[in-house]
Amino acid sequence: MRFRFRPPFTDPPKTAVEPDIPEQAFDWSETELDALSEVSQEDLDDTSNWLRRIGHEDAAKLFDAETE
Amino acid sequence: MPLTLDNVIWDAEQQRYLTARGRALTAKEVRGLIDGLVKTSAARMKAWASQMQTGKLSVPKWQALMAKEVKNLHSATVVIARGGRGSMTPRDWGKLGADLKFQFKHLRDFALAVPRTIVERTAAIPARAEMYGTAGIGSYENSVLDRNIEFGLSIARRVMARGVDSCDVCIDEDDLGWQDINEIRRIGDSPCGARCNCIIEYEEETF
Repeated sequence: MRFRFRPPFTDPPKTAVEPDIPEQAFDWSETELDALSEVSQEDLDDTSNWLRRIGHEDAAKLFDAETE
Repeated sequence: MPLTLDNVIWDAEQQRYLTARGRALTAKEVRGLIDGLVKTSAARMKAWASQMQTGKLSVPKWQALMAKEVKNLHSATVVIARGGRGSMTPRDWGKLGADLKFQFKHLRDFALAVPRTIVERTAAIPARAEMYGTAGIGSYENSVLDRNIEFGLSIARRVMARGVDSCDVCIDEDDLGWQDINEIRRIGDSPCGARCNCIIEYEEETF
């Protein structure tokens, strides 16, 4: 009779939903919060594009409206 | 029926959006656009949180996605409330920045409180994430309120949105009817918080 070698089971099998390393959330400092909260011209262009990309073209037109 | 707008401009004198044909958009039409936008964004936030809850998305990646979405949504609702990009004043930008910082602080605390192990993550996570989207109603309505106060309107009232449950405070506010605009309780400042769906109406309609 022949036996097939099987490695010893030591660690639980990793599944797709268990990360290999602990996940660390961003602990934003006050300075980082200030930087995140700044709205640049590039951010505004991004928001305009985002509105169109998610299907809200009309909202984008209001967002981009110029004043008479 | 959804709007299909040509280019619009902001009429500062009337405090209204005008279509290319000169028609003024009503308050209900603009709020309808905001409601649709908030619904879409809240659904995106809820879906990402569900992915993070089940481990398909890492917490930092989810947090970064949320931060971008929150910035886009609140920038859009506030800017639209103020009459578009061309109407924003330095003070408006300052207020928007303060609103965003408030949201990001809460988002940071939310992310830091997410359990490390996936089995401990509950369905409360997507429900909580969704509120960062629904909070867009408050940022819109409160920005319109600020604009109308600055414009010199004096009378306003809070009205509960149809077809949704309202908290006791919102029911009481609705019962008050027309009142001094400076006495109006701000949206989100009730027990229903970021889920508040109330509308602020003005005696003289701007939008």
